[in-house]
Amino acid sequence: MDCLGQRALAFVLAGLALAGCQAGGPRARAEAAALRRQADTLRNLIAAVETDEAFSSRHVTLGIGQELVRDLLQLTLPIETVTAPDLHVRLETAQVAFESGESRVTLRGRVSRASSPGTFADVVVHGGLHRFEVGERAGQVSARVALDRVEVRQAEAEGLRRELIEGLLQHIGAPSLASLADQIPPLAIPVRFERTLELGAMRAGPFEIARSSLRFRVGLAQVVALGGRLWVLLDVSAAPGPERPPGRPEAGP
Amino acid sequence: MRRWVRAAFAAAVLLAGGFAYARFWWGPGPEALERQRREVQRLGEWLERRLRERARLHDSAGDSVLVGVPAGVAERLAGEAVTGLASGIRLTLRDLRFRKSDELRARLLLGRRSVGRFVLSVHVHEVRAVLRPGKPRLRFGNDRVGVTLPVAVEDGSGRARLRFKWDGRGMAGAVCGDVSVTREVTATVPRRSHTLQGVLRLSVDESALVGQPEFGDVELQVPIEPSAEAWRFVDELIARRSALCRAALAKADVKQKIRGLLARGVRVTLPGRLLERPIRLPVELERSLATPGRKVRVEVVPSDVILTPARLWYGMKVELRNAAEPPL
Repeated sequence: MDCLGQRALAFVLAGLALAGCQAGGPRARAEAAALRRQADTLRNLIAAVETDEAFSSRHVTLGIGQELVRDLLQLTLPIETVTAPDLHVRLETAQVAFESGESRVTLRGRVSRASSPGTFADVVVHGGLHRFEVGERAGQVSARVALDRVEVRQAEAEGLRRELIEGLLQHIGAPSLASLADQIPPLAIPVRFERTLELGAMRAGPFEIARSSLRFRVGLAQVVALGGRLWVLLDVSAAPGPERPPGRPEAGP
Repeated sequence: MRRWVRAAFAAAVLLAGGFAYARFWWGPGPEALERQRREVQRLGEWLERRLRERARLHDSAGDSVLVGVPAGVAERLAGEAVTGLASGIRLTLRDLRFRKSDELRARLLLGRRSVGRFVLSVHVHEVRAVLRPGKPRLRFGNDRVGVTLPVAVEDGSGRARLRFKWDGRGMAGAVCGDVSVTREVTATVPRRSHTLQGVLRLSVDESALVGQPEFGDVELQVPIEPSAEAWRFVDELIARRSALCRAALAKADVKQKIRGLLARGVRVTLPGRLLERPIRLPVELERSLATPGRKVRVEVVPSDVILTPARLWYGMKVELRNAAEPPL
């Protein structure tokens, strides 16, 4: 390569290095992607609110406080699992935040070598809630925790460096995070939808009222994390229940 | 030539390096990230403001769970529940007795004279009817829903014994003689509408929104209409008599007498307490939770029902406790 080529190459490399110093690297890149997703979600929500598709006059709205969800999630902890070769993960505490259209779950715990428990690092696992469901039979609202990122806070070790642990954790990868999330039982929000409203039989004078029921159909319309609450929007409709054999009426009060 | 190959190789390396950098390493700088954060915050605030304006979101910081039922949905559910309350009310009336007797006078050759005396008695053994609710009208206000519910008494049928006794006097007595006939007939209950007025008092009982219906007693008029078979019987009764007798019985207008006697029907009181079965709305909190290795009690303290123009809200403070701990 001649002198001019070498100079051009050096110039380009220097430019890249300078740009790299000013740019944020992979961590900033991940945050930017998350912020982009969040902004898209919010724009979609705003459009849905403006067109009366979200929080509309059709939906029964449940607002569940983030503290209650945190306490419920905390009940499922600690969870322990051996993931990746020789890595023991124990998650102990949970934090939950519902802001700007995003449900954020932060689990704190420790990762250590299964073969050498004295070598450990405090970790923070970031994720969110997803797969919301209204149980077909019990009518209970439930969700799963999805984990998408691990961060090392402090490493205590026999010469173990933070970068090494981080590298190791990156090796854990998405499949391992998914299997770790699977260890967390479904988050059961203790709100239940009765599918049937039973009205007992009754008799008073010449009048007799048969036992009857109303059936409710409950469908999950949308889940929105906003203002410290998880807003669960439901489509609820009622219809007369199936005909029942006449029950023995009870005397009126 | 070799110089060009080297330059092309260097350019390819640079291109690949630049691509890898942009694809895997480059991230936005602090200022760009801050711009994105501010944009997300702005959109979030905008959304919350719009929700408070449009959807009238109610928030109570102390309540762990808020339930908002849109006015339209609450109206529909309350309407269906109230209709459900009053549907299938069966009315059974037994052993009803009606009697009418009168002397019949008619203008004869020698002036207006008594032609006979009749006694008409109807013994209704049993009559059954059903109350069918119509579309309720609801008025929401504070912690109650005013209810106006039309109901119709219909699908009624029954059995009755009809007895007609004619004691002829003078010329009519001579041509007709005495008539005493009894016949088992069927009867129907003509449809008649009534209006029930009441309220649905709303409260949060433990963890469910409960509507407690309150209705006063309502007096219902239940008319009874003899069936076509009964009218045929009367027609045959008259047709079998002589012409003079038929004229006398025509004066008596037996059919109209029967109709008039039964049309008033009976008055029955529908007790309001029959409709006062509490309606629990279907959203409720579980009182216990089972998680791996422990059982948790869910303590619930309900707060008030709040009615905004758009939604009916109620909230609950929830605390999770070990099932072994004593309750609050």
